[in-house]
Amino acid sequence: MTVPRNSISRRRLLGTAAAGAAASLLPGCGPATTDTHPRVSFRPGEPLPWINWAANQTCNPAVRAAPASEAELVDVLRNARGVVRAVGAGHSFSGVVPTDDTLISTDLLAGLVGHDAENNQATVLAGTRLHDLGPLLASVGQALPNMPDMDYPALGGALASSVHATGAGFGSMCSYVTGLTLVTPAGEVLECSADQNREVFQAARTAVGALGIVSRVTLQNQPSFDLTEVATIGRTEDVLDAIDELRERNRHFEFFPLLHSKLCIAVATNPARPGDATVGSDDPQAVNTLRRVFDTVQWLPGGSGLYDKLVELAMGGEAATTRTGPSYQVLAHVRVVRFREMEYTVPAAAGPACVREILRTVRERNLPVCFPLEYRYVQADDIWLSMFEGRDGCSISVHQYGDVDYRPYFAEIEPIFWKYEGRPHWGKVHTLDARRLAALYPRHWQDFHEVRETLDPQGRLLNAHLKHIFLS
Amino acid sequence: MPTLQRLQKALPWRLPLRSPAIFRFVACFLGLLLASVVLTAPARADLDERQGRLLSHNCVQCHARPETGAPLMGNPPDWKARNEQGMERLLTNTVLGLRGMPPLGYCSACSEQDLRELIKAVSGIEVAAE
Repeated sequence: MTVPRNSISRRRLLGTAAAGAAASLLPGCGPATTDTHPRVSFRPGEPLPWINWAANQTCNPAVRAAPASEAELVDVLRNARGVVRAVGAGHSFSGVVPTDDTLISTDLLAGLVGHDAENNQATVLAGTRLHDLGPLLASVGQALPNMPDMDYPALGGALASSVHATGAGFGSMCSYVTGLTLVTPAGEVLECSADQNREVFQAARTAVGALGIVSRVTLQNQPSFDLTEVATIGRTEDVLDAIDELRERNRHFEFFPLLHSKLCIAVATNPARPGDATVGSDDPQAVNTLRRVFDTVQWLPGGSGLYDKLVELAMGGEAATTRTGPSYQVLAHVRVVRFREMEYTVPAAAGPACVREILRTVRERNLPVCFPLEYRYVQADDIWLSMFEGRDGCSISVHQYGDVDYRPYFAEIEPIFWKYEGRPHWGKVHTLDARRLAALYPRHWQDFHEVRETLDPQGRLLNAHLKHIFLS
Repeated sequence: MPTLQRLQKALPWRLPLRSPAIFRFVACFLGLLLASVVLTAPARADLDERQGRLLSHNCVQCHARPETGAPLMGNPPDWKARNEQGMERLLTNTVLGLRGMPPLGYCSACSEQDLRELIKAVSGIEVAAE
């Protein structure tokens, strides 16, 4: 997620907290911090464990493979033992990767294969990290129409879980895919597109790694372009009252409601205009600043109200932060604070009611959380297991700091998403099993599983998490 | 010959990067890398082509970007206290992750030996020859 930039002035916020609550005399209280890192140990010379970015998923694979070509990938899959899973950057929060048998890294399956200048298409290897993809496409005069707000994931992982950005006129990353190459568990290489192996194509564009390993992808891009992003502080209710206009007027619009506060950070991104200039910069540590202030005051009687006032004092008059430049640089942001995330996509029209209910729940139950929410729009698509299949979506995310047990907070919020027919992000934390997920994908759940059972009849790609979401 | 091309030619491995923008970015990184090698000659990293690719896919995205707050390649003051803990501690912290440092440094393809070489390249730590 993208959170508070320079517009949350750390010095000013902390200074305000100190003046308002004698912060320097108070211990940092806040929620009991339970270190939820998996209990993994490592000593040099021992086999390497695998741990995801958020440090809530781990495994000890017996075999680690890193094929450097499609031919090597075919060999690895044909000869793999036990449960086989692929991994890119390891940025998923859900248990899509862990296996104690064979783990296949796509790190070395990276780079630009070719491009079609006339049609603005490019073919890239699926292990390419998004932070490399932008410059690679720029080198041939192309750019993704949209991309997530952080660029650490690998392209293959992003497609497996239907990673998306924001913009009412833009679908998820998967919607830009016009063709892909899938290596099945048997080592068969399938070329898939709307004209070739169409059913596999519809299933494989969001497949949570259950059909095989995607080795290369052809993307529908557009000519390189520049964007300007403007982040401003506003009132959450004002933003929600104007949300339809904000969504339609801006190429990309998202906002970050601050918990226990009336304020939010609104981010509008549009094509750059002559004279646009960068003013201010990201503050990757801003969410830690919020946390320090929240921890300082939230245990006091009326602490939430005090926090609201402090945030308002510190941020209310802040000027906008502007970033401008090539699209892939403006859309992506630095992420250094570890967190865990749950995200559901509800029908677009239900977004305002859903986020209001989350904010009200946090306030009324006085939940000890301060990591901002994130609210985005994504266009409908026709991909069988995409969270956006058949309906425009509003994706709402809740986050918890990486050293705090996220489960109590997420358990309070997740039923709200269910109430609004939310579909969980495949790569983020949720508790739904196959029965409940099937009900959210009534049109193509069975179609997907027929393809899956054809390509992986022995279930070699099903780890514990995939069995839970697909078979239970 | 442009500086970057000279640097690329001098290196034993090539970065799979083609755009002018990324060249500028990599030029900065390579400068830092070369500086680290020069400043800490005894610890010179011995990266093969594969490890060079792993470096560019994983380590560079933070350790050559000042805005991330990560200790920077080729900047010895960032590494002095860390390197005093020794290679084994750096390796353990890399594998398990520490604060903003992701577990395995994002590198699921890396073996322990890969990580040792990448740590040397990034931190400039001096390690006695075995």
